[in-house]
Amino acid sequence: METNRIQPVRGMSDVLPDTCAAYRAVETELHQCFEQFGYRPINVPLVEHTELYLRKSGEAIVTRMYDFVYQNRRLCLRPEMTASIIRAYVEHLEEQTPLPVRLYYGGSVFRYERPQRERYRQFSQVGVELLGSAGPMADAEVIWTACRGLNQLGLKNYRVVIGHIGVLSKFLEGLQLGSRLQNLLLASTDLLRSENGRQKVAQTLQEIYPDYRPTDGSSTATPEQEGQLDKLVTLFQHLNDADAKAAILELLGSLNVDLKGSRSPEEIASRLLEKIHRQNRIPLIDKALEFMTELSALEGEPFEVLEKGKELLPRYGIDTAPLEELRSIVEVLKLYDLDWSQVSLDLGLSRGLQYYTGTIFEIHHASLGGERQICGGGRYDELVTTLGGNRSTPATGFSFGLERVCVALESEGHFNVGSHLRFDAFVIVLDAAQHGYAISVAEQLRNQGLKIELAIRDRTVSKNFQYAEKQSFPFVIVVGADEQAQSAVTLRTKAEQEGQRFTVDEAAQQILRFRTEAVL
Amino acid sequence: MSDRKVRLALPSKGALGKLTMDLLANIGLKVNRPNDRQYVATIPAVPEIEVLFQRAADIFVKVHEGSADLGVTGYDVVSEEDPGDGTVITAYETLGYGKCEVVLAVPNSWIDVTSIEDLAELTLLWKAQGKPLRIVTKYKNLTKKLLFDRNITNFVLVDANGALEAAPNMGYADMISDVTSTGTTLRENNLKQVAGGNILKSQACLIANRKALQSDTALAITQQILERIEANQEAKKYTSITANVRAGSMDEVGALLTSREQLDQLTGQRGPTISKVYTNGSGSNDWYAVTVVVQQEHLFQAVQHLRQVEGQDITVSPPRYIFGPSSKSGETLLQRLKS
Repeated sequence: METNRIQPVRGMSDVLPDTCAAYRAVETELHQCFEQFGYRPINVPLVEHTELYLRKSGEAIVTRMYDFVYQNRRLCLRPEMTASIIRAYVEHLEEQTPLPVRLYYGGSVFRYERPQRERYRQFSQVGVELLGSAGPMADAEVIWTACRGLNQLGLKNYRVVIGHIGVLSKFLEGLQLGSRLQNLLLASTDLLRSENGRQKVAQTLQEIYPDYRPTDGSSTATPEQEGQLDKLVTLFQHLNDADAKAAILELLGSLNVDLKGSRSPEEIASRLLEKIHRQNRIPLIDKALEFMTELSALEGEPFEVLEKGKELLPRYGIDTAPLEELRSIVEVLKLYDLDWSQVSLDLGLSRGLQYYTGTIFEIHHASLGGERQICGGGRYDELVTTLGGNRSTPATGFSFGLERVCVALESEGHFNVGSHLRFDAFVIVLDAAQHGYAISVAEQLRNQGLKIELAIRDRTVSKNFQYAEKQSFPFVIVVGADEQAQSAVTLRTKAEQEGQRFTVDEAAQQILRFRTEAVL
Repeated sequence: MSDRKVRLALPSKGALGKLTMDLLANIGLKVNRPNDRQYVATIPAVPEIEVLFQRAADIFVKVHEGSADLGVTGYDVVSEEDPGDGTVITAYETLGYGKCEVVLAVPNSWIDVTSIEDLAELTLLWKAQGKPLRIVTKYKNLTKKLLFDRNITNFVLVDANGALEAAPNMGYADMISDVTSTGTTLRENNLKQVAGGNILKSQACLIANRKALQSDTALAITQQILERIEANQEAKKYTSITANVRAGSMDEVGALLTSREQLDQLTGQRGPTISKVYTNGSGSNDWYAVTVVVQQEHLFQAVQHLRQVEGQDITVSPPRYIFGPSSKSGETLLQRLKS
């Protein structure tokens, strides 16, 4: 079967009228909620310079961007909105707008994910950014804004999970494992929680660091893998840094390798030294995993978790400042009308974006299974300066995944597909001579705020009636020569066989009355 | 479609071109190309096929757009170019020649980089300095995928112009991602492979346009080509040995040859075939000819075994084809067409 249809691009989906209207309604509700907190709308381009995301986004996003070269410029479809909004803020608002600046947005973002349920390559984010405000009042308000939005939509069974990126990243920085390993560990917090998570993470690490041996005896190394450490590294391992570097440079010189490439001998020498130090840090991997495992266990009722955290962190010599920060936020949050059983603290929470600097949070909904996250956000105090802003500006925000919010709503029966699209009446013209009159009737009714569809296809009256029946119009308005002569219309409800004559205004009143009753 | 010829695109020159012609000749589909400057040719054995000569790099595109129905090209090209829309099906993955590997390679002077992890660390250092790692390659998609899988993001892919091995020396790239078969070119250009940077093992393969195979003629011809390739490759594993053995009866020869279990490998696929030899002149009349087909590696053991039973006049000949009860690759192709 040859067909000349063009398929949609894989992972992209069409949103058809009934669903589209329901999405619109949800989005509008959220926008209204944001406005109640003083947020103002902003819109940013779909296409940005790739550089914008390379600078600060995590690998999880960069590796999934629609990134392309067009007319020798490297561009991409935006994988998220925050970076664009901060770019726009730095460009236009930083100099003349008093702080705090509250912005909200809604729009499509693009990520090249493996298509699966509730995971599309184009999806919609709706969210806010609060710029220029540090402290618990800001963090708590942002979290509450998200919750209030969901409450207004009627969603009940969601959970708010709050964490702090500072705990884990400070600990890892303290170990000086090198940025690569640090990122790897940060990215593996979720895996660590899964079944046999620790073994899985250890295994991944072993593939990368052949000399790493988990102390819990779960080593899967085969004898051939033993001692894969470069001979060079072993050679210099026992020299002090200055001697080692001198020796390496000498070696490079004697190798007679052409060094007119892109790297200086000094860089090569110091990288080799670093490699040696990294090897020496391998024993610390277990310490890191042990701490991360303990930290991941700290999840639950906020005040209990804070207590446990106060015991754990000093044992590893970690500053407890993040805990104090979280405590203040939780205390402010308690002042809002939030169902406390829906809130938990999770010190092992780590989101895949590298620009977070402090408090982070997610909102989960059980209906989504593995992809349970419907909202995510947190504090990113360095992004403004990273993107060229003149002043260090504290910032926090979140975004909803609109499609996922709608799946959650649907599971609780609050996603009203099809009920948002209501047309009030269908106007049928009996004869071409009355087209002018029919148009004026339709316009008068529209001026009253009614949704009026005018019969524009050249069909028989009975065909038009059938169509109105199929489309479930609550009213049909018939316009013929008699009606025109009396400046009237014939109005028929779905149930009636015969209509009644009314003036246009009376007809409008009838329809409006019916509308109010239908809503009640 | 039914009345037009099945268009088979072949690499026009280079090693891949020559080896492809050899393969077709080996499986009884010798291409008749009157001169090297002609871009169309025929296969007299199968007049329904029209051969088109193309650059190996273009063959995937031709098959994808449907201007060729079948094509022989490198699996590396297929993996790099295939948009994954199911238009192109790999009909036979391992034609057994044109073997090479796509690898990451860095200058020898980078003694601090031996593995892809070292490379990852380097990109992070350079990210802080605001410069990306520049990789020159013809395999942009494959290279990007490997690096992304390793969460390496701070790099740019530079277009290859001519000999890309020279790019690091000339300074318009830091390293390369390219195809190598022996490693000689890398060594000559002071480059070394990076452990964990093996992107793809490749060899010549036969690809087909999915739509083209909806024609019965094209499908039948493709199936036939697959059968021949498969049987020919299978035959390469075996050798056929014939010897003359003296014995009282056929059964006695059979017993002599199959008496021990460990001889299973040495007495043919099912067992030896035995037939009577009618000797010339006045020779004794108790000679039997024994034929066994054994795997190449058992050739000498089988010969020894035949000698133990007093075998003489041992001749060895390669079988050209060994057909199984059905064609595995043909069945696989049908499954792929359904998916």
